[in-house]
Amino acid sequence: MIRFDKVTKTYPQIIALKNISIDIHKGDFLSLVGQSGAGKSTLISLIIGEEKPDSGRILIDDIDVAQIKARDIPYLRRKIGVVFQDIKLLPNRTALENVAFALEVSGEPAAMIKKEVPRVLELVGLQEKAHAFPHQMSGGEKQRVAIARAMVHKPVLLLADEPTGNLDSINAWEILQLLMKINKTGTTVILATHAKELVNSVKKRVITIEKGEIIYDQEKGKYVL
Amino acid sequence: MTTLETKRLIKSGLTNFLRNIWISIAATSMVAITLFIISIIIVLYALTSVAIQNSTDKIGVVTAYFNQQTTDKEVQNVITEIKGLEGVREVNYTTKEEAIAQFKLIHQNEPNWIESLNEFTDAENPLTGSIAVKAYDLTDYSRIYDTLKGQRYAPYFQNVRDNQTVINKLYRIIQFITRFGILLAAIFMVVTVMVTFNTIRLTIYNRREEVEIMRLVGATNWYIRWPFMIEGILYSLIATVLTSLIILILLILLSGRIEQFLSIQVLGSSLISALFWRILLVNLAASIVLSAIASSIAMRRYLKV
Repeated sequence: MIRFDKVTKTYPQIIALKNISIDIHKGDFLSLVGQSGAGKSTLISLIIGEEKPDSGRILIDDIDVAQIKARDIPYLRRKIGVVFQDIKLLPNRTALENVAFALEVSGEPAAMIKKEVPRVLELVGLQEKAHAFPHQMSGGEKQRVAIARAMVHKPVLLLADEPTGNLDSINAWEILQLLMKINKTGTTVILATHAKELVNSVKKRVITIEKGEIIYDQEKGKYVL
Repeated sequence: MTTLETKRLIKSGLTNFLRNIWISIAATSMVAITLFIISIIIVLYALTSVAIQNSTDKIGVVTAYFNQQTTDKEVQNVITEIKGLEGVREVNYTTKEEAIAQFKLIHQNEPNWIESLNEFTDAENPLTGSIAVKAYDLTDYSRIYDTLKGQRYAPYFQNVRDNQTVINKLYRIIQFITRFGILLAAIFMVVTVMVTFNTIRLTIYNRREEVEIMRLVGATNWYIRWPFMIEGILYSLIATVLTSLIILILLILLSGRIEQFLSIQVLGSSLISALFWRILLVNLAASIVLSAIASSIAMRRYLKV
């Protein structure tokens, strides 16, 4: 489903990714581990078309993201949900409105928004907090709103970039459970993290990156750094 | 673009406008001031043109006064000849008797003048017959003047006069208004673009989080850009309506005085309404172009999509 084919990406004076090749299958749960600056975030930026590789191909369902036209990127992003460490919710909108926002800006009709938003809020277990503003929610709740927003387009792929970075261990655990639940419904999940306990508890594929290179790629892997 | 999307975009643009209402008012005022200056220039230009046209009919004429000794036959010959000159549209002959009658009419309340005229015998009457020559074009007058002043007609005329200096003065006024106006308008347009640019830049800065999220969740580029365009268009529209209203009110209130000042009988409601529509159109076009330039530059530089 997703294939990195000899991808290299450099920034001025930094080699972020060095000749990386990965195959990710539909329905996979992939943990991407490594130290900060190892290249995990670059990898995610490449998948959503935020950055272009210097060389190599990134195929998503046989579409080369590296070649995609700027005006087609929005449509790519509707197929891919993204969650970040810094959550990125709009502070002056409620949980419901934050999720609805993703559909509004994609031009979805109001009736569809009304139906879909409660559905994903239920998926992340936040029906009761639908009308709460971000400052009225805990870190874990906010991250779940962000996941709901990422899932509202019914994406084929969910990218989570350090989603638990700012959360305590209980909240982090809950977020991980949620990601695994989403994965069980058939959505491919890529989790970039350096939270050792979380990765080890998943018992699924783990790719370890160091200095822009894959040093381990293990089924049912562990955090080995 | 569906109606639903259009609605959302306009709403979003309105939100941009209202969220920083004071900055929006400042930007709108700046656009309005520029439009006001452009409007004033248009009004001045139109009025001066009317004035010149009007006065050309009155003053656009070369007047030549015959000598006392020029015979009636010579007068007739000269008139026929001048009528044949290039650029001459019309030659009006005023006889000596008509000149005297006119003089008496003009000075009917000044008995001293009439008396002094009566002192003269017919033969030495200082008032003489004259011709008033009108040209097709304003630029022809100096040539006609030179011809009448020349050798050929020297025996017949004692004096030739034209109003070239007055015409030139009017032309200089209109030229000054045009040049100064264009310069002033240009300066204000540049300032307006800068102010509007800065305002939109500020809105982009204020909404950077929102824009970032919009990009992440798959909003198209134009969907991200349009609210900022609409914000700029709002400045233009409000400023245009405001300025045009003020100008219309001024035109209606001042038309009496303007007529008096330019000694035009009637400006006429048709002139005022024609002027108003022209101003409205020019304002609308100018403001939309200005704000489009400003928002495009701001978006190109600060809105990464």
